[in-house]
Amino acid sequence: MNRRNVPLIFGIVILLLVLLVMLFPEMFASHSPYTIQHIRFLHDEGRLSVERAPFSPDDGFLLGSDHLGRDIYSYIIYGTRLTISLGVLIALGQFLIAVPMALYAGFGSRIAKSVIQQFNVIFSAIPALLIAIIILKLDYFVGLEKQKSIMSFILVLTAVSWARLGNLVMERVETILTQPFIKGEVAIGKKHFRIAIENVIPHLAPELIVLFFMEIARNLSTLMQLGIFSVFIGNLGLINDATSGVQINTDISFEPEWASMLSTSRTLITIAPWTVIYPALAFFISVLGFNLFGEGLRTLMQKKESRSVLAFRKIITLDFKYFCVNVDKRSKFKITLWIALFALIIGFFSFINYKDYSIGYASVRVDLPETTVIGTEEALFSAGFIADYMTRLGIVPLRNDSLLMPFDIGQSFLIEEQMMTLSMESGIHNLNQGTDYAFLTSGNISESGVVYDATKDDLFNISSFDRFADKFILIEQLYYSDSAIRHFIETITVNAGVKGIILVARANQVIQNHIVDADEDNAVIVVSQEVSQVLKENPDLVIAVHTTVKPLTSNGYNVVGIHRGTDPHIGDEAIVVGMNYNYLNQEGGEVLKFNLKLMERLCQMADQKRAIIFLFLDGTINENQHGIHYIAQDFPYSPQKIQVYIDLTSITHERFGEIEFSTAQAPPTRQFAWSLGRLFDSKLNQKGYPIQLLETNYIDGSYYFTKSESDNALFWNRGIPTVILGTVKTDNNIWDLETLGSIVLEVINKNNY
Amino acid sequence: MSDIALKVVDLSKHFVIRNNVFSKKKIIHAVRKISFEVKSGESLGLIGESGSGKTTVANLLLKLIEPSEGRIELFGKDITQLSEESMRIYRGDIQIIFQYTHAVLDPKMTISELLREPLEIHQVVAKYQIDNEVDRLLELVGLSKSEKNKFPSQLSGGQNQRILIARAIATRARVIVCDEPVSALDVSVQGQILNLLLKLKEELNLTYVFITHDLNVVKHMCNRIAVMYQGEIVEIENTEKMLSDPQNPYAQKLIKSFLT
Repeated sequence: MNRRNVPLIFGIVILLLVLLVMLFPEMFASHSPYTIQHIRFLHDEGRLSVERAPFSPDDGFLLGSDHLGRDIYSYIIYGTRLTISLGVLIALGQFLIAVPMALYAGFGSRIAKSVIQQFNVIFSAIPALLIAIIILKLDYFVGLEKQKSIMSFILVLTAVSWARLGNLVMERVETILTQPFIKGEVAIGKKHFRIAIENVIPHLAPELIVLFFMEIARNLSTLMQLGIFSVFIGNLGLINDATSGVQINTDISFEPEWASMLSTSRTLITIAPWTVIYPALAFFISVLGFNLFGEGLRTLMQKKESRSVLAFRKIITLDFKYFCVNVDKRSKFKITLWIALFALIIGFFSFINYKDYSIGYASVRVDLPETTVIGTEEALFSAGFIADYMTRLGIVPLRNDSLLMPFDIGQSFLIEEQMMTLSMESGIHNLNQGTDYAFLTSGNISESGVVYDATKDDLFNISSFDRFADKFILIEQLYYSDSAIRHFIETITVNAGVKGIILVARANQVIQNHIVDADEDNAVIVVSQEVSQVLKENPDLVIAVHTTVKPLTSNGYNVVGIHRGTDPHIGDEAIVVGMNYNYLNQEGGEVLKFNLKLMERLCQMADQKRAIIFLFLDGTINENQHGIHYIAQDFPYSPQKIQVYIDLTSITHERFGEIEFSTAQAPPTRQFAWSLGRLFDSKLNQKGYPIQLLETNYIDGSYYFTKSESDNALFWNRGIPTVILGTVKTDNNIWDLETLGSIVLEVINKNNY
Repeated sequence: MSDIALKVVDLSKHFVIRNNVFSKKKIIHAVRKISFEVKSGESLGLIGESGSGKTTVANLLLKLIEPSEGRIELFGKDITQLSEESMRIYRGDIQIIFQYTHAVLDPKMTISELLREPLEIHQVVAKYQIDNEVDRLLELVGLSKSEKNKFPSQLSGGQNQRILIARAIATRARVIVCDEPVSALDVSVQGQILNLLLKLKEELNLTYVFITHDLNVVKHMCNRIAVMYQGEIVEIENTEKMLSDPQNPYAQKLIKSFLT
């Protein structure tokens, strides 16, 4: 009688499907699982209506979306990998503990036996689920990052559930050991270890394999139950509301995984049942698949005289030579099957860490100039070098067949020597360039004089310029926009013979300048707020400035190239990554290496569906020569096609203490940029980076989102949403570029689907 | 030959049975202070009714269970106190042939695997000769080489018993304990197996301890007979003398019942 093994066939079909989805999720998914879309616009007979997530299943979202607007279908597809691997790995963990322990106990070890029994009793009395919830709900476990979270899940769930399996196996081992042939093997002089491996395990094998698949199914249901209690991998536990001292957390994960879906959406079951039903269905189908497969295998393996056992024994005793001679064809096929199964299990391990987001910029070996400043020969050299690098990576120019985009910066100088002193009663104080003051405009100047405090004057309507004569004029920048200040400087210097203009720095303004605009007579100096305080309090103080300068060429060069997208639909959409290549010290050189390597890694990421435009900006040291302004005036790519501008020009330190970050210019209406910002936010938080959000200032009738005009250039002039990421030095610089880079790489890659 | 292959002095085995923590210990004396000697090349028959402790003696001789008291000497070497580890060396010298049951050979191993095992463990022959040796053993016990890749379940009871014998002699054992080797077989096959054992005894100069409840077999096989009753050896005598003139009342009864 040769009846078809129906459960096995169904099980194999389901498991193959699951495996396929695990291996190639992008073949099945329609959206990126990381994409978030809170609201969407619908055109309905000419009327525009706005809908808020969760969306019900329709053309846009096959199985609907959750409350964040993530596509349920794609989320399930991408979640398969993690969820199933987790089930398999936990089962593997259980077996690794249970089987050796059971064998030990079977051969008479009292300790092993009582350990198994006690564990079994404890976890029968107290539900393992409860213990798992209690342990995994601890703050320590909730806050772990993905890799560690997976490990802790495996460890905890293995620990609470192995004993049941161990008890089962132990009883079987004991039964097998009472069989008469075991006595024969002992009489022959066989060691216990060999008996365990060569005689006991082959008899256990059919059951073990069946149990293995059954355990996977069990583990999946445990994971599902844990999910309902908000225990899942990558639970961020964002604080939603903390009014009246009670914290209300939103359990949320940005890691596609089924259990988290059940948790996040269990409150939505009445209004959006699809958010719960489909993940539950996914669990159901895969549990069914594993169960059927296990059941089918049991029937198959229970047939007597199955030669697969021979091969199995040979595998576990590592006697491969034997394959070559005595085994017939059919067995060889089965051996291959076994090995395939083995390889599959090992494959599951590698799924955990399936993508490498490391940067490895330290390996870049290039000779870069000591400093690179706009208008110098070094800058031209670096630009050429970057262009070569781009060409090697297959990055093509956007315009004119040249990666270099020159722009006119007018006449400017590089300061060679500079000095600023304050003459006080206590003596003459030298001020520090870079912390106390910096030049914006200068020529070869040697001046000294007193300060006129114009911070309380109405500078828009100046009645008389006489009071300014032969003095340094102190102006508070805080109250005026950049363009207003430019206007003041012009009127004052034209109408009054002043010695110079002193501007008080805004909060966060970088006081560091090596290039200055050309003006032979007047210096424009930025001073820190502390210095300005001293100046205001001592009106009779004499200050002296001295500079010598070297003229620069009047051209800057932005290096701009595009890595073309490959997708037929969205291939012409672009992500713009802005980086700088000007620097003043060795650390800046390392940052340039990092930028180059980051570009290389972004190009290497195989699934770059959208185009990436790389901007290497010149003149980033001085606001007025900042290359972004020239790009913004005449952007070489259709701004409508640009999804986001990622501004990395503020990454200027190799080691740093804080991250400055702003997504204020990536509003929810610009969906791609917004979700990128959210991803950055969650990822940075997860890694524990201290984040300094850039301030939003209302200046001169418009919002200045960040510290300077350059940060606003693309958003305000071209409407390109901007995400800004930069580094800040603090007293405790514990973070390095390598990890930040991997976050950048991962976030861009995940969002770009 | 006069040298003594196996010597047993005051050997006892009792099992302690305790149903639960509170119940009284119950001691079952399976074997009580038995002593006997087997000369090299001799066959000793151990007979007695069911439950008289014959199989326990077999297990004790092989040290498959630990004796409670007494001493076992194998070719003058005391093996009573040897640990499992050190005993393994002497297992080559003393082997056992079990009563045939369906699982007396590992059903998941092929015949050739079963025969290779003792050869590998005791390193009887060099590695490259193992295959030849397996063939030779099969021939010796009267099986064809074609059975090599079969499983025990594919062979008959008699053939399985021959495999057991082959395994026992594979280690070059000098003493073989036969524990009811033919009782589960057809009468026709019984004769074949017994003749095989006799033939091997001649060829390899083996010493047998033959445990059975069948006097016919003993008569056929053994030089001397020991009668066991309730764990004790009540009489030990030459085969002819024992069959014609047993002294002990129980032995008398046993032999009488057999003759009628």
